[in-house]
Amino acid sequence: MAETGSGSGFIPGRVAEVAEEVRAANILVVDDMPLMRTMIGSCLTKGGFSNISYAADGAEALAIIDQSMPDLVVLDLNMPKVSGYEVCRTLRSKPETVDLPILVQSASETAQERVQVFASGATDFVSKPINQPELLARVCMHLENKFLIHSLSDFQSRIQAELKMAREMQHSLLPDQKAVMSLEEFCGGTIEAFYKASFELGGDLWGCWPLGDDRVGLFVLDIAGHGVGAALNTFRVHATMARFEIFRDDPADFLTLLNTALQPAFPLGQFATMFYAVLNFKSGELIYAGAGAPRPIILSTDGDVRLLDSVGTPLGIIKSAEYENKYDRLDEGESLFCYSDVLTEAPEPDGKFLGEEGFVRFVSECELEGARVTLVERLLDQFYMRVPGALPDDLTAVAIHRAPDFAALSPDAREGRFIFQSRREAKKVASRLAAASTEPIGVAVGLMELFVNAIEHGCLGIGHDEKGKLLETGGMNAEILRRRALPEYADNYVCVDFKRDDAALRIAVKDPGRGFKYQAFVDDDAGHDKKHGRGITMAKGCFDEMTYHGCGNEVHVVHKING
Amino acid sequence: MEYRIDVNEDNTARVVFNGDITFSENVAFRQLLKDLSVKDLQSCVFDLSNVDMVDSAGLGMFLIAKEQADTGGWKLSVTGAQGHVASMLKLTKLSDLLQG
Repeated sequence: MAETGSGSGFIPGRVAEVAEEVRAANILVVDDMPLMRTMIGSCLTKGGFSNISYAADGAEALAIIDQSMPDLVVLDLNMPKVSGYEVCRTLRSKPETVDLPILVQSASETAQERVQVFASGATDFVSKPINQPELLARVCMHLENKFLIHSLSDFQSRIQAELKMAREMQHSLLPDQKAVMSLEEFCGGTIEAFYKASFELGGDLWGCWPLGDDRVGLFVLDIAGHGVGAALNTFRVHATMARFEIFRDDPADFLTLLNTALQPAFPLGQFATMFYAVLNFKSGELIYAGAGAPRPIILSTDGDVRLLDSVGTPLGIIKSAEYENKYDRLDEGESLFCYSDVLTEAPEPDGKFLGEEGFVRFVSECELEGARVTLVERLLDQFYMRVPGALPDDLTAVAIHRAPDFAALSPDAREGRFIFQSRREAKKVASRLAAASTEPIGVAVGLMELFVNAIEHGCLGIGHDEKGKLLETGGMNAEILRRRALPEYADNYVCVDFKRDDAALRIAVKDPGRGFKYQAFVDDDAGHDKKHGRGITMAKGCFDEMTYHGCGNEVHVVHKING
Repeated sequence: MEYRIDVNEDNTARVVFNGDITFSENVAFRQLLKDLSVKDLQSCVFDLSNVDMVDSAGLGMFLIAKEQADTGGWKLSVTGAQGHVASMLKLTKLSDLLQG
């Protein structure tokens, strides 16, 4: 049975969790009448409070508060020097006392006065003559509110800080940029990798590592659900993988061992989908095994798509599950693209989601819009345009682009001309010209930006704003085909002239379009903040010189050949 | 996600789902499992004909239902899956596990 009365640890109807803090609170009683101070003080003492200080007027109250912050103020209104109203206003004007509970007590109690009391910043009001139990109840209530709000917001900021730390720790399980770059150097290809944790903790993981005999291993993994449980399990999986390092050569064995080790530890209803591949970057031989991960995509040099068979029981469900190796190839210039299911399942503004079929179409369309090595970056840019706002799950997108066998220009070709209409033809021209440079990837990226612009803007008259809208709705490809069939655009083509000597490769790109006001985009300080000028800024960074001519329908670039 | 439970006289049941079965339906799904646990079932069929979308957390909930069925001595199967739902079940081989 709860005790009642003075000095007891608990008052009925009060919040037990903060009773101690409430009782230890420092209360400042402000009244110009000594009798009132004594009366309020003894009421509070009887109620179990012992940490009470007193002020005889408003000025003294403000000085005491400056010196030592109380937890609550019991404030008289009519006092000499500084009135209770003034004290309220002063306290509310300072950030450190803006939420200090102020309990005003006053004899006169008109409706007008109450309005004034609250307008000047009082938290609550008790009327004189003081009803002691009421005063005590109100003091306790406001102190409880104060401490509960404090402990809630402390708790909330602690949880937020811990979630942030957990997200960062989870992020640290992924290969960092240095590891990716050294693997790129090792295998001669390009690796594009993106990971974005959802607001809640998620369970995505990916990784890659060098293996002997000219091979690299690459996995993507997604633990079902999200939240702390899924996130903690990514650590479990990561640690378990390290135990089976010597089995990384054989995807099926690796998955089978992982599953056997993980299954007993995974709670019911939780599992991990996974895809693991071993690529021989000399021969192009690809061996992989799947455990129910979204089907990875292989893009041929011509942009044809095929899906790998990643069917398999996810890890963690059945202890005896077995996995089998499957065989495919990744030839020069081809890309292997692995991704998490949020890309196929995240709802677009109309509530629909892409699904696998829609996603594959989306990938093909993006592939045509620029150089291969920027595929994932461009794809995600467009994805975020289509699916704005926070994603419901982690996003992982990893691609290995095997370096193309650039069909080089013959060594004695010093100048020449290419003419094309389609983005597919443009890609071939870009890779042939890039091969004559000393930085094929950069030059191919820059040329594709210019070529795509010349086709879409110059030959087909698609404006920048118009393109933005088409990308958002996913209708870009259809619009290009539609315009290509119209008589006014059907015969338009892009003309590319090149000249080269030992010092430089010079390329001129000309389209029949109306051009654009290029000055704003080529100036260093103006290009970056304009969204539709990004391609131009990017292209500019790929060459030593870039200049626009005519009405903006002709652009010249220079790539200096070093060494 | 909404669901309706039809129990026949021979203690076989059919649960007809409507809407997406995703992570955010986790509470509703647990309620369903509770509803099923108090019935004396022989078997139960999850009818997914009106479900457009199931994510990995949704598949996890099917696994929990399957476990509950195995423990309670009744049979669980799924039917009517199409489109994205059918491909998810196939991709993860859960279609084998939840066969009628």
